[in-house]
Amino acid sequence: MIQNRIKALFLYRHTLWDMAISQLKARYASSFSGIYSSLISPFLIMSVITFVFTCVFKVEMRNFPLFIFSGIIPWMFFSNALTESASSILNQLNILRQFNLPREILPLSCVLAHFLNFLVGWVVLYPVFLFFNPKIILLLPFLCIIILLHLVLLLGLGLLLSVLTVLFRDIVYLLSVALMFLFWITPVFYSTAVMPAQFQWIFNFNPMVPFILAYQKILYYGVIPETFLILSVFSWSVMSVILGFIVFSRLENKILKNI
Amino acid sequence: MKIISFNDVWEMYRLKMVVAHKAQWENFWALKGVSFDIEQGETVGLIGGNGMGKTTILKLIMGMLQPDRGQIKVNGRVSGLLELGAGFQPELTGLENVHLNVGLFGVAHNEIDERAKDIVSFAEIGRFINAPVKCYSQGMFVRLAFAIAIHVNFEILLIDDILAVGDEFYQRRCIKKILELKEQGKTIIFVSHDLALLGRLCKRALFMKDGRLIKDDLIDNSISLYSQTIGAKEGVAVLEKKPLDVVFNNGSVFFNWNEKLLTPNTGVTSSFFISNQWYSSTQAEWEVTQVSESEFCARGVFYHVPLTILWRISLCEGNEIKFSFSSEASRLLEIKTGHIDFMFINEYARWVTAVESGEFPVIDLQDAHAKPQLEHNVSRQSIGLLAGGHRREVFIPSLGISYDSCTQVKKTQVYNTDYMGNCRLIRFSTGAFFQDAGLEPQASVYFQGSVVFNVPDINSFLIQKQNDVILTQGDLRLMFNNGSCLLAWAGIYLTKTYHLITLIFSKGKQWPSNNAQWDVEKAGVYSLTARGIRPGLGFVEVWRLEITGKSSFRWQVGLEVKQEIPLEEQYMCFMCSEQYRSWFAAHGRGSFPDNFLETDVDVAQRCIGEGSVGVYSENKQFPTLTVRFSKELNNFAKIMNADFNERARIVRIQRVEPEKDILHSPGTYPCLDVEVVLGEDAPQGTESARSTVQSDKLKFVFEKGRGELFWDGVELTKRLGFYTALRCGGRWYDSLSDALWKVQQKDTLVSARGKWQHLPVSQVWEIRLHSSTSIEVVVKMIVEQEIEVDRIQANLMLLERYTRWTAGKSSGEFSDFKDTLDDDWDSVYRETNGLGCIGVGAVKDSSVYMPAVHVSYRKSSFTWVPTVINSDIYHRARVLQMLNSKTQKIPAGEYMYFIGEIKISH
Repeated sequence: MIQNRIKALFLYRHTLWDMAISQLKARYASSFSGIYSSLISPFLIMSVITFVFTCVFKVEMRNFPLFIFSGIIPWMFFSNALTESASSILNQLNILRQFNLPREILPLSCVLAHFLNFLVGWVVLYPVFLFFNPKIILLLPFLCIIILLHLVLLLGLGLLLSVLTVLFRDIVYLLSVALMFLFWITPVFYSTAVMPAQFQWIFNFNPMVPFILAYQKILYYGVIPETFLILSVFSWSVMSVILGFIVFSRLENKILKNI
Repeated sequence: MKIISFNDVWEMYRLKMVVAHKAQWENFWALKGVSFDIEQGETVGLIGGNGMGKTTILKLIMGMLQPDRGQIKVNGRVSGLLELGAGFQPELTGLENVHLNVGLFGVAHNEIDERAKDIVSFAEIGRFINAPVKCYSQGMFVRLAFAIAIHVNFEILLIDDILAVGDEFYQRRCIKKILELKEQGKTIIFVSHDLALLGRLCKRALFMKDGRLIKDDLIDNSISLYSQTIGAKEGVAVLEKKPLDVVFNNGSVFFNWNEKLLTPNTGVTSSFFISNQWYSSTQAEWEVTQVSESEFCARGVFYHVPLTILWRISLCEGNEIKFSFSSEASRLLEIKTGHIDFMFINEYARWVTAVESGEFPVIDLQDAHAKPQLEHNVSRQSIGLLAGGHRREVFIPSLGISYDSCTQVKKTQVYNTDYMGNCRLIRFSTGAFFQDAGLEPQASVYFQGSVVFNVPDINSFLIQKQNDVILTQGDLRLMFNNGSCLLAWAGIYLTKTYHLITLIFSKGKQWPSNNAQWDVEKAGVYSLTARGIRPGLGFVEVWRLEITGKSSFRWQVGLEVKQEIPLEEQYMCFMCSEQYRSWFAAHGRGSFPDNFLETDVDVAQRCIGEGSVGVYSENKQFPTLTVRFSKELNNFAKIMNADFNERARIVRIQRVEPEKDILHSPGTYPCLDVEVVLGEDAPQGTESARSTVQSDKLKFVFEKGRGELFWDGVELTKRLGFYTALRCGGRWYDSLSDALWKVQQKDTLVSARGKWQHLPVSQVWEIRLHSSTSIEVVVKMIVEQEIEVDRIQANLMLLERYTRWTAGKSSGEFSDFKDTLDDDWDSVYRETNGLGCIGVGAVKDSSVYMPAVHVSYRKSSFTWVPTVINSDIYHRARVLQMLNSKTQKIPAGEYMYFIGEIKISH
């Protein structure tokens, strides 16, 4: 059955792409800064955090803004894609009423649109990292693998949440709280070492932790991520995508009756 | 090939019901065991009320829902419009959205561009195709959405009631496109509340009710069931007595025979025309009270008019349905006219009345421009319908409709509707009546009648229902009914439409006798007396009809006046069958014109004084009809051809037109009196009394007080030609319409003597050829007793092609005719120098040569002023007139009226 779904999705790959592009176009059609807005908000967050942690908390870390950047960009992709894909079906029910297409397209195209945004962010910022540490160019394959796995993770989570949201509308609100909580327990502006030992286990339940760590390793520290880290990144993504597809196909008929 | 197959499909929704803040989940079955198959290329309509499962079926076909039970097979790609503009991204342009949506429909990537072109050209969005769709009007939105839906690959097209949004032009284009797709063998499933549209597009319809498929049948049958059951529950009643049942639904009544609907579309309805607007019973708010198992009362209240209609309908033994329709108003309402319409299925092929019968033409379903067509005016009380003779699967019962004589109905008409209705219509029209409110609103009955189905002998039923009073002897038969009397001979009806009726003009209105209320008393076998009261006129018209022999009868009409009443005109009318092709009168005979015009046309000079007039036919079944009218009562006769609606020959016996209204003071007056004989030979005679004087080129023809002037075979005169006229007391009496003539001819002299009917005046005309180019006219006048005249004339009316006039040395051009119909024509020139000669100049153009014509006079008893006149737009003629406009008393005696010469110069 999964096979059929993937086949159908493959047939609709162009539509998937078109929808992602059209979402991007629609998003930037009425915004002032256009595609650059995907850079402005991480830049602003980075500035705030840098100010708070260097001037207020006196954290002493070399190139602290670069550290922040290496974490904040993936985080924002994660948080934005999750929020929007969660309500992607709910917001586009009318499409389901009219077209008989693989329903997965709705969350998938939403995640894809954010992924494109995310890539644009890297295209601009990667040269900056290169400037400070030219040898990270050798780690580029690792970066690509991590980015792809990151996409897979979000595709899975998007599928899962989008279908659940139709049945339980409160997920949208819970998600925003959950994301805020996750942000603080993700080592974006601190290193894992800061966390007291008795709370280190918390990191294990946060799928973003290995991803952020991997990004930091590759971009900031300029080292190859540990095998364990890569494995956990890989397993998180695969788990999420399998779970997403299973839940989606199970609940699909139920949501169609609800629309 | 079955393209769609539903086999016992059940579909359930779970609904959350919140009752008193407590949520309960409830299972709702949207479809309950629906099974049907649709073949490839079929166009199927899906009808039913809201929430009856139509959209669920479409969703299942589209694959958006899976059935909870049962199987669905769909063998083809599906496209459709279920949700308007669903895939549209408001921020994107129309074109971008086309690309996106075509993709959503599953069109392969490489075909999209090509499709997009077709879509854009079909949608006709124009340059706005490059604007974001959020700026689109609703109409553009629909156009684009529809264009996309029909330009993607599909075998099955689903359309869910959204065509209604576009303008009419676009709708028509959509319909055309749908028909085109139908041609291409696409399967189309169509949900719409526009039943007429469905009727045109689909052959078959599925009628859904409460999740069940109630009827899967031909479109007509499904729609009729649907229209019987839709609507507010308070306004529905059903009477049943197998095999007949009657369904009342919010202002429409439907009859079913063994569950076959006999009254399609709106069934039986009534409508009123009040202050320039029609109010149909289907627009009223209805409430039904069931009186008994076989009877109900329905009360309909109109919103915009203070009118309430009450219908009482009962189903009786012998498949009879009785109606009583009445109305009441809360203030005085003038109801200008009303209709009671009975629609019947087109399987009914013939209509019959006690008198006539006819076949309905087949309605051409291809002819979209055909209008409802009036087949016949039947002024009968009962009418029957019979199904066609050819074999059919379902039995269609014959039926008879009749109304009681006391009701308001004035006219019964048989219609064939247009292709949309595709049915037969029997329409009863009421005359104008006032609905008085009074202190307590009182319902007055406007239609009371019955419909009987499966009548064993329709003819005897119709005669029995017909309230005629019949006089008969031998082959002659007179049937009197409510102010009109039918004349039959050996089973053939000689009269038609209104048959024998009387008409009265009074108070500026026409009062036909069939609008009066009549009491009939039969005095013996051969005669009857009928007394009719026209509401609004204070007298009783009394008819006496008496059969006086095997082939003759007498018809007398008198008035019993109760209060003084002005009467302008009164006449009796024989509307004879168009089979009568010729007429005769005292002064001659002739043929009726072959074609009927828009209005009644006089075909013969009026026949005054002694006489008999009549009509005859070559068809031996139509005996010659001779009408002898009374001299004592000053009657005269007219013979006319009716208009193209009536298509009849009319013999009219009229009272002499008085100078003013006849003011009748109370009393009894005989007015009209005729004896009618059938089968008498028409008097032999020449076509008409024409006398001629002529030289080789000049010719003057005298006929009945009128002279015609010819030159070289071309008539120079027109209409009235040469005539004389006198004006007494403000009224014109001219030689052609007011006098009776006797003519003698001796070689080159024609002498004619004419007696004026309403003046004590005669004239003797002597017309002789003076030379080969001139004619002498001498008119003597004999006055029997002194009369006072204010104008006298002798005229020559010439063709309008004459454009120049001459009078001695003066001359000029005629101007165009004045746009007036005044008695006083436009006088162009008045010769006061006593030269005594006026004329018109010769006309030479490519086609015809018309010589100059001059009229001159010599001294006679009266002095003449030669006047050149341009007549009015009615006559459009140039007139050379000798006029004496002195008011004078002419004592009894003999006078030389006019001595003159008509001269041709060329």
